[in-house]
Amino acid sequence: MGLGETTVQRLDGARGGEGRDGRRSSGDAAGARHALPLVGRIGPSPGPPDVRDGLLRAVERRLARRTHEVEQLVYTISHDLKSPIVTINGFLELLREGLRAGDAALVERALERIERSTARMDRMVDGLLDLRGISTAATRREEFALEEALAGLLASLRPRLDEADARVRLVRPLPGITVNRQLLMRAFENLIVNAIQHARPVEGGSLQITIDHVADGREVHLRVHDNGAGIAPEALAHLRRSLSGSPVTAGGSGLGLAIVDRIVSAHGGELAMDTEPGAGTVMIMSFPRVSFADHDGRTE
Amino acid sequence: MSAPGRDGLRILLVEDDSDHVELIRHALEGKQLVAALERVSDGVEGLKYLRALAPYENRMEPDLVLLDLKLPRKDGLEVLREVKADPALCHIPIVVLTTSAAEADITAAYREHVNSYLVKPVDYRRFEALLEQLGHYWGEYNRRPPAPDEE
Repeated sequence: MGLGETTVQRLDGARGGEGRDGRRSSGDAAGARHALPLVGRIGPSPGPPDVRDGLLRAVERRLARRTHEVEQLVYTISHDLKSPIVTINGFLELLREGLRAGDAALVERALERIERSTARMDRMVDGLLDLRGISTAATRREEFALEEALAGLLASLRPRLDEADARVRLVRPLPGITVNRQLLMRAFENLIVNAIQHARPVEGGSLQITIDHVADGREVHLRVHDNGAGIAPEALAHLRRSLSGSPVTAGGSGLGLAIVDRIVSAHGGELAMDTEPGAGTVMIMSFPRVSFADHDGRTE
Repeated sequence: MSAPGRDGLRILLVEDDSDHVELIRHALEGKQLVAALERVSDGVEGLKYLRALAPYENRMEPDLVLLDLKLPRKDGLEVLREVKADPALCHIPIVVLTTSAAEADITAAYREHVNSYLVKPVDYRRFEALLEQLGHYWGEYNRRPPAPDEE
């Protein structure tokens, strides 16, 4: 797949350089890391001589991205929802066998598998409905202080963080932001929960999650770092499929990262990832600067 | 490589969904078709098994691999690509067994030289019949070349 190369790879497998500059200027010292933008970005604002062409290209890119999202959704429905249906039908047959043979253990096992599968389908359908409602919700934006909102989120996640022996550090100051508050907190929650479920510190010990931000001329990048083992190149291919629902959120809807991706893109931003085996993972949500209140100027 | 059929097929099942594993085992058990059904739950383990790497040094080479596509750590297409590119393994028949009927997946699997592509039927009786027929086909009728070290 060539995922180990430094060429920027888009989710749909196309190679391209667009969007690379924004991420690279984000101040990340690990220049050799592999950037994997999870969606193509909408593109820069068109300059005066090429306004029409620029706008057309932007619309084309937006359409292409939408088409890709729909295709992913269809893939999710056809593939991921079918899997629990196969399980349910199979165990219904085993349930019949168990009843005929008076095998109470088999009956119990079959019922338990059926129950588990319907719960899984329920979570997936909820996830799909969530995905559908994000674009609309993203138009309802409010200005709020990110620090304060994140402190509230972390308080609600405390039991899960403690259970996973994970610590989250906020690098202050964090900027004010104008987005849908509920959606952004959902995105942060999914990224933190993903880290809890999948990142294992290389040398044991606690999982450290750091949330910070950097800014460049066009965008503000909100970053969630973990000190996990990073993601091997071959697993990136698998992760790509995660936007159509993979076990990225084990026990969840399987759509955790897809939801983050949709939330960020619904605000005109882009989700990307820097990872390297042994060096942890950084998930980067890049938003247009217009979404931010007067910036603190930390990186300007 | 002994001709399969006399003592049943040796199958390696690369499948992450434990429920599906149980259904596949249930469908094949007691039918004298399968001598051994070994299961690994992700692509990395699947390749280790096929290459007889630790902890699978003593594994018997399977007559057939049943490979799911959507697997943790290394997905089915990657496993397929590596097996078919490996002169020591490429003779082992690989049958993709997946819930995906997506044209893109089917095309990609054949591009990587899959031996057969099967979509898990939603109806369990058809699923059971498919596995039984698969056992007969690969176990009794199909002939394949000897492993490279037996030539």
